[in-house]
Amino acid sequence: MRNAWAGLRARPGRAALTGAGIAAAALVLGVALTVAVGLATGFDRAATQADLPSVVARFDEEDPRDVADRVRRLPNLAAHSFRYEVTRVELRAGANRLGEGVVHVVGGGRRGYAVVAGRDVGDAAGEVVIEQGLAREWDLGPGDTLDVGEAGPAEVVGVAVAPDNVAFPLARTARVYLSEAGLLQQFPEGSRFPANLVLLWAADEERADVLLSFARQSAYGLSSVRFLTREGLRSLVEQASGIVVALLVAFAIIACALAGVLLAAGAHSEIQRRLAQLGVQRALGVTPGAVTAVAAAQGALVAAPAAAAGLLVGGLLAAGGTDAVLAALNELPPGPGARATVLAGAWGGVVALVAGSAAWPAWRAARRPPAGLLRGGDVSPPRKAARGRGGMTALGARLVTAHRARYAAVVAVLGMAAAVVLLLLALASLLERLRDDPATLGKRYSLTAALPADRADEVRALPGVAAAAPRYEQRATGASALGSPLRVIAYPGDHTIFEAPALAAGRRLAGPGEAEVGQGLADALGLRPGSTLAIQPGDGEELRFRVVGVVRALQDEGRVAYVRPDRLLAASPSLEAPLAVRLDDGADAAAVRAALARLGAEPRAVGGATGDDRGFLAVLAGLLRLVAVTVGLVCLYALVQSLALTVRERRGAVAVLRAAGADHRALRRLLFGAATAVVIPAAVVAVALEEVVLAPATARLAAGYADLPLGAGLGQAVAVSGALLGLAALASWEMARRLAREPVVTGLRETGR
Amino acid sequence: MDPRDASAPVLLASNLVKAHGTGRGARRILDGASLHARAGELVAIVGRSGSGKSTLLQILGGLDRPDDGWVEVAGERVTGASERRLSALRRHRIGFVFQFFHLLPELDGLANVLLPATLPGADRAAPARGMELVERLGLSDVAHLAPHQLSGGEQQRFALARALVADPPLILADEPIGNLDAASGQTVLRLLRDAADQGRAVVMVTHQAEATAVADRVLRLDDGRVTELQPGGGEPLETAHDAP
Ligand SMILES: Nc1ncnc2c1ncn2[C@@H]1O[C@H](COP(=O)(O)OP(=O)(O)OP(=O)(O)O)[C@@H](O)[C@H]1O
Ligand SMILES: [Mg+2]
Repeated sequence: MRNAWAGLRARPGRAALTGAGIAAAALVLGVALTVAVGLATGFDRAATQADLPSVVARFDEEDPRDVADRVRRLPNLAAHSFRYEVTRVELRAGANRLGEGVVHVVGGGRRGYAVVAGRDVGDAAGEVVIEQGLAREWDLGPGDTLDVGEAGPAEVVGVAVAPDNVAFPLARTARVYLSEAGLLQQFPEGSRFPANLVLLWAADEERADVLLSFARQSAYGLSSVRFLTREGLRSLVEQASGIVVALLVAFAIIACALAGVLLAAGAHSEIQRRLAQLGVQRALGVTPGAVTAVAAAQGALVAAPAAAAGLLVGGLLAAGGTDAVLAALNELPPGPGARATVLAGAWGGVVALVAGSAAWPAWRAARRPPAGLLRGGDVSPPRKAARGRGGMTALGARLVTAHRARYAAVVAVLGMAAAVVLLLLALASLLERLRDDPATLGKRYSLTAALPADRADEVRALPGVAAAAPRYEQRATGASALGSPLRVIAYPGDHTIFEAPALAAGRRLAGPGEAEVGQGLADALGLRPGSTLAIQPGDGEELRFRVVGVVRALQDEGRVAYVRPDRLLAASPSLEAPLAVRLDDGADAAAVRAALARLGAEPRAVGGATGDDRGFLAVLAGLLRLVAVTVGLVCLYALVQSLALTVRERRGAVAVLRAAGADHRALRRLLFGAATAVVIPAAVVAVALEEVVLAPATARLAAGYADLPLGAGLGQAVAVSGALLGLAALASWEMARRLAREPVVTGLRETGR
Repeated sequence: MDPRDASAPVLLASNLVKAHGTGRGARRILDGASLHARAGELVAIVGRSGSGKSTLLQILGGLDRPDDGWVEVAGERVTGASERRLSALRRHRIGFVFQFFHLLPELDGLANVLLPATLPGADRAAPARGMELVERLGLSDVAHLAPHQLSGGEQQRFALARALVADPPLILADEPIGNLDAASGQTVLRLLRDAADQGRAVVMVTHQAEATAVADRVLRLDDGRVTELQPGGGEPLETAHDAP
């Protein structure tokens, strides 16, 4: 250990450089872990903390006493409680006003929400607990007053979180809780409140499905019964956050991998650089074991503070954004203890990784004969062909490529970093397209017009219109696994004219009894071509379709089904459908819109996917940007570090060249040659890595059920390669200038072994 | 002025002062050192270890800057010249030979010799001269071996060829045989002697008697000043010129 310390003290600059690299990688890791762990575990944590029920059943108003007996007889039931939900209640506080308030009147028993500030509602009149989204958006807290519809002003006594919906304002409704006892005091004329919700807690959560199926069987006589399971809730909430959170998590995981590679490669090249020194040590009789131990200890000594700093800063940076996303989803952030545990684990991992990556090559090198090490064993024998011809640029390239292992490591690290940058760019443009470009979702129509189906012909006749047809859309739940929400989309004819998500299996639908289902739905319900899709539209009876194809639909995370409208219309004849209007290529959209308006239709442009709430998208984009910036910084660092190291290592060579009369012009060419020799293959590696590994991996991690166009565009690849080259040129320019200024002797002395 | 003119000194240095360190720790390594070398002359500089011989040589070659005094090579001021001018001077007028050879490990012997010829602004005839030098120095058989595959003597001969490839009028050699066995040392000394006989000024730092034996003049660096010894040893004859 003392040897290790002395070794570091002798080269503080180099140790600092290594430390900075580790800190940068740890920063990415800290951000990525905080985001990934926070988001990936958010729902479960909130569900546990809120004591979320296993099943929620909604029905039309009933006297709870009538239902209670049936409920009590359910198997695998631990507890239940009734609620009375009133919607469209006006909420007011100061200047804020919302017509879409939802009041839950809670009686006794388990609650199903977590009180995160203040206390729960008691038996006193005039108390209200509000959902966290409302508290944050309207800046309310315990002690403030909220007007709750007819119940009038109530004191906010607590703030609650329940992950059974996304938070206000991402959800357009805001939920508040009043106690039945309090309301009865306020309105003594009633003796009891009805119920339209029952929360069921399973005794054995693993077997909640038993509870669900018995609940379904005993639901006869109740009207409009709908069940929602914990899993259903999860997918509902996840649907709102959409693909973006999934991408964020996936991206964070990849960032972790990048950080790991950076760390390992850094430690590895550090040892490669010290081979000669190892040779001396071995020649002096130091055992391979001792050499390895010193290398490991040095790695650990540098890594310990650097990793701690990087992880801490990364964790702090990402915590705010992650918490905001979690809050918008009505999920809870991990406690400081949990976060610290994750970061501490990562710290241990980083230190071990660095120590291991330093020890391994040291061990291997130490077991080689010392003579080889002393003679600069990792230099590949020069090739005969290029006898220094091709000038300085070629010489620069030869200088870096001669150390094969080191060269490969530098190219790999740079390539990785640039690949992540590419992925980032692709991700950013995907997000943009998701928001704005319907084609990303496989939508080929760009306008809708609120006109009845029989006027489609008129629309079709308009110039610039390629096709028009009514587009039926209905929300439904899967009948076999209740609570699994889906969207049914129907066109009277060939739907691929308007929406054509890629076919993953089977064939396109051909008749009214057939359905194409999204991969997401297929996964959720275990469907494949040949199986039966049974769905329950919002308020109708069960409908059945034969699945003939599985498509990669991005919309609603793939929880969609394409059918012909016949059966939907038979079940709910009043189903309305706007006309979907597909334009000719290059048609003047504005002119078509004007023409549609003249027909009396209200044309609307079709947007992209997921959540129409700008605030939430902004939060997500902010978080993404944070991850992007930290990774970008690390990429930049990796590039500059590898160039700086190359120059530093080749100071002797530079000095010899200068002694032979090389001026700063020659040095510039030399360094640029060295930089391009690294950068060009790194760019190739980056593009290949992004296209072949990262993009598919991210897309798969994010959503196996959709084709995410995450491949970088040609423009992006060119831009990144160009930026790398530009950076290389800039760095060589600056380094040449600085090198030319220092006395030649400095470089000569350094290499005098 | 023709640098090969035997009467004109190729190298002139006057009153060089150089201190290393600052404040109390500062030590004057050179304290008024002056010397000259004419074309065709092989000058040896001796002195105890740490007396500042390498420092002096580096200042002569423009690799380091003196605190005071000046240096002229082939009639051109080295001291105070711009970095661009200095580079050109080193490219065309000065050849260096180092104790530790300083061959680039990534290049084979021949490529190392041709290195100065690849620099922008290098003499067009340099590559041909390089090939010829490799031949003449008996290195043809090992021209394509990497430095770490060469013996010390071979490495130094390649380094000497590299110093000669631009055909400079001045060769500065810092302990060129310090790391060589007797036989290799003799070869290198003979080559340096040849270089001088072809009309160059050769200044060589050494502490080996074999080296001083082939020198035309032997200078001694002591207490930061240069004194001239008689060839083969003995008492100083005169102090070196204080001015040209
Ligand atoms: N960069 C420097 N900083 C501080 N001191 C230096 C520096 N370079 C050289 N010295 C000191 O200057 C003195 C002269 O060094 P120099 O290398 O010129 O000696 P030398 O005569 O060549 O010795 P040797 O015969 O051992 O090669 C030495 O005492 C050395 O410690
Ligand atoms: Mg010396």
